[in-house]
Amino acid sequence: MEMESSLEIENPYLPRLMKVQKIRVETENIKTFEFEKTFGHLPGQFVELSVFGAGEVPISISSAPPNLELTVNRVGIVTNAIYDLEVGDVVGIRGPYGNGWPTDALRGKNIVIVGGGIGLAPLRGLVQMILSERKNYGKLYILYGARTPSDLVFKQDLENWSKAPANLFVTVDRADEHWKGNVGVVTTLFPKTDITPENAIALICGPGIMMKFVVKSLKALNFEDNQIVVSMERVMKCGIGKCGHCNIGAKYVCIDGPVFNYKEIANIPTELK
Amino acid sequence: MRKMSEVHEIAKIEIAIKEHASSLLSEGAECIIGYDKDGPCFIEDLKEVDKLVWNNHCIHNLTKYLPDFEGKVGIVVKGCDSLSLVELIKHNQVSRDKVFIIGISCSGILNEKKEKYKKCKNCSHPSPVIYDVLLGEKPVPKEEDHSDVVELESLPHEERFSFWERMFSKCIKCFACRNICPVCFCKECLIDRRESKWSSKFVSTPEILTYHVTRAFHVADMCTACGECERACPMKIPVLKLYKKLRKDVKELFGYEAGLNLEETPPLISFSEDDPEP
Amino acid sequence: MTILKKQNVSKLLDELRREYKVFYPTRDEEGVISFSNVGDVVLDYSNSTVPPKDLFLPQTETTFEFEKGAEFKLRPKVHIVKRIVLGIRPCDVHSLILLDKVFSGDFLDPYYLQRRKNTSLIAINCTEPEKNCFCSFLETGPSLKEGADIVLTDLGDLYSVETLTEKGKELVDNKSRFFEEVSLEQEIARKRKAEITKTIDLKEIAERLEKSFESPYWDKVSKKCLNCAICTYLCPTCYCFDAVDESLDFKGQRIRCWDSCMFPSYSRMAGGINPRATKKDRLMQRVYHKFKYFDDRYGNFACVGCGRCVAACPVNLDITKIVSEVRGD
Repeated sequence: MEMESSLEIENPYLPRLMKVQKIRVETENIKTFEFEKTFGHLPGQFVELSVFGAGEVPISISSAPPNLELTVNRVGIVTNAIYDLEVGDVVGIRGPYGNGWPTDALRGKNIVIVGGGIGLAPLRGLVQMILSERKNYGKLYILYGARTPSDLVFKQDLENWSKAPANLFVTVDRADEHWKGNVGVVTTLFPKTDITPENAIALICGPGIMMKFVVKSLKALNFEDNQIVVSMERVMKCGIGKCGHCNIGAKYVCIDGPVFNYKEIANIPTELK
Repeated sequence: MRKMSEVHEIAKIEIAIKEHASSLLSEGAECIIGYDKDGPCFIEDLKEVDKLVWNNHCIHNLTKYLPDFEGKVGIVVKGCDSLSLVELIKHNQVSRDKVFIIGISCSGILNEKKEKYKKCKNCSHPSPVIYDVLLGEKPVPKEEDHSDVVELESLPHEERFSFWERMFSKCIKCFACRNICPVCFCKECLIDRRESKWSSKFVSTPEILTYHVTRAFHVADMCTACGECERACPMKIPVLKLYKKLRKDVKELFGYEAGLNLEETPPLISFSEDDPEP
Repeated sequence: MTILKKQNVSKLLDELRREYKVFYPTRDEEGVISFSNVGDVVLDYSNSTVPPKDLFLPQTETTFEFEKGAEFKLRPKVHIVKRIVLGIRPCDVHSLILLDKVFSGDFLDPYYLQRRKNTSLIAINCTEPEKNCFCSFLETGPSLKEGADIVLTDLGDLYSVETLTEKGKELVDNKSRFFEEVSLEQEIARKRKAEITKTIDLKEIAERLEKSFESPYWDKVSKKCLNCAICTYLCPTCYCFDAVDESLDFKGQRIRCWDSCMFPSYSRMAGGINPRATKKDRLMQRVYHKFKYFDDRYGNFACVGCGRCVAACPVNLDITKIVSEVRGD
């Protein structure tokens, strides 16, 4: 039997092997894993993370370059296997994939960042980047909400941001006996701020239903559709636009997103459910 | 050539179905599940009642769709379909008082090549066993044909297994057999439950057999041999043989036949001290 | 004109088998036609039940093996055996042209593309379309102008042979003792036994689909769908795949397998949220993808008019009817 010559092309499905360097526990179900600083990415991009034997899942990069940090919530087979990883374990990483936040368009603007739950993860890298070149941007608002105080992620960063040149507002749906801050969903924070749409861009990430209501609040403040940017989430099996799973209309979240201008997806009903 | 009397009979039944559908909808029924020229149809509007048909190509077992409905529905059932309906009622998937059963006695359904389906040739229940209204002339029931199962049973074990190996090597795990089966009514099939890892999505012999054998045992005391599974299979795998074998075993072990008696408790969900040890 | 006598086909296949893995239509005891490399070749067939996309995007394939140890090993599995597919129909050839677009682009899929490189296609024009065929509306048949290396046309006892590529010409030249050159004063009339009878109205389909996203039409038409995978698995242009890991102790493999947008679990995210939770959502996704989204991205409908989905659907759902009927009102 004759063999054909091999196509000399890079195999985009083969993960790069990387070792877990550090682990930080964020909440009972969420951990942040740090890897070698040899990656290179844009805030808002994601990777396909493999635990060999369990599977592969898309995970947002939660740091600004050159750091590579992945924050994972354990909900399924693979994410539970990730949660159980130890320092030194070998994983597979493919990427970075996706388009990242539109950082060029943010220069000189007032920035409103709204995160819900683990949705703060892809936004964290953006905040870090903005704070590291603060004078390139206008006012910075960070609105963040989680279910309970123990579900707040990046607690150290929240601490730092409360002292940074930014307006930080944090809320929980349900307080515990120690909580002194706002209680209510993240949209209840808007009346506490002086956010106006003039020269502003809002960037949102969180559960679908949270994003839907945040968009409503922003529009009630007269934000135009094209002043709102969202990071979407869908089932992904390849991350490179071939397996078909992550489509929103004609767009693939993995290659046309995950960051979309709200205007692009506003006319596809049911998409911000 | 169809006899004129048959043609008239079919036309009369069709008119009667439409009349019942109209009056049910007028009385507030949510939907009438029947047949139109393209197969199963769902009539929710009086204006659409005319779409309903009855002819000797109405093969589909419509009882599959009943658990999807909350309110009162009317449904057209043939004899074979009515057995599935009995099972659905017994297993609390359908409330008897929420369904108006338009029963049709039928003398066999023809496929595209105008031949009778295999299951119709030896039909043991040509008239529905449960109904609110019964249309059509009652044909004479025949003895159910187990000869294909008996033939397979007579072969030595290795030959039987290699028969099923060859058959299931064609399986593409489309799950049509499961999804069309009226008594496969679990809201979440264990095969789909990835977390449990009972089976994987990929296709290889152990995975395929796991699915088919598991399903056969799960529906063993509910299968009424309506044959929809085999009709749906795009690879023409004779899956009905497997289910008929289990039906035969259930009959021999427990003296029980699915679909006949609303009062009888299925053996797989009941226990008695003198249960047979197979 | 170059011709191949039908009585020489088996001998040609035997000769080709010495150098290539050869796939051709076979018929099993139950009458199911599939492309196989064992068994008797069948030439009186309209089309295979499972499309030959299986030969390029197998239902199940290992993409790589892994082994944990002192040194972690990853071994990709790309197949490079030379192959020939004889008897592929024009519609299915066009489906491969469409799949090529998916598996190239910014990221090249070595598993699919290598198989394409390894494989020569000998297509056979259709002279007897089935009642569900509608290839002419999608301009993918019944005759083939491009996409295969050789195309044969049935002229009764023999095929006329046309080479469409250099590869095809080389193949005919190398095996010239099985072919003959004849000069005919008048072309033998092609035996077209039947015409295409099915129709599909594709006029302004993108606009009609866009306008009808909220239409109650979709509730009605999706009610009888069983959400099995027959239409997607038998479709030559469906390509969605899942990837899972299987392992025991320290060794394992990543496996890629067909997936179907008709399964509820297709779009269900871990945690339970499902953007396409209803039958209606899923049926809409299939129709919109085939006749709008794929066109938006790649410039072609993702349908070649083979009619397999229509023929095999157990509840007689017919995509040609849906596409023809859907209106924005």
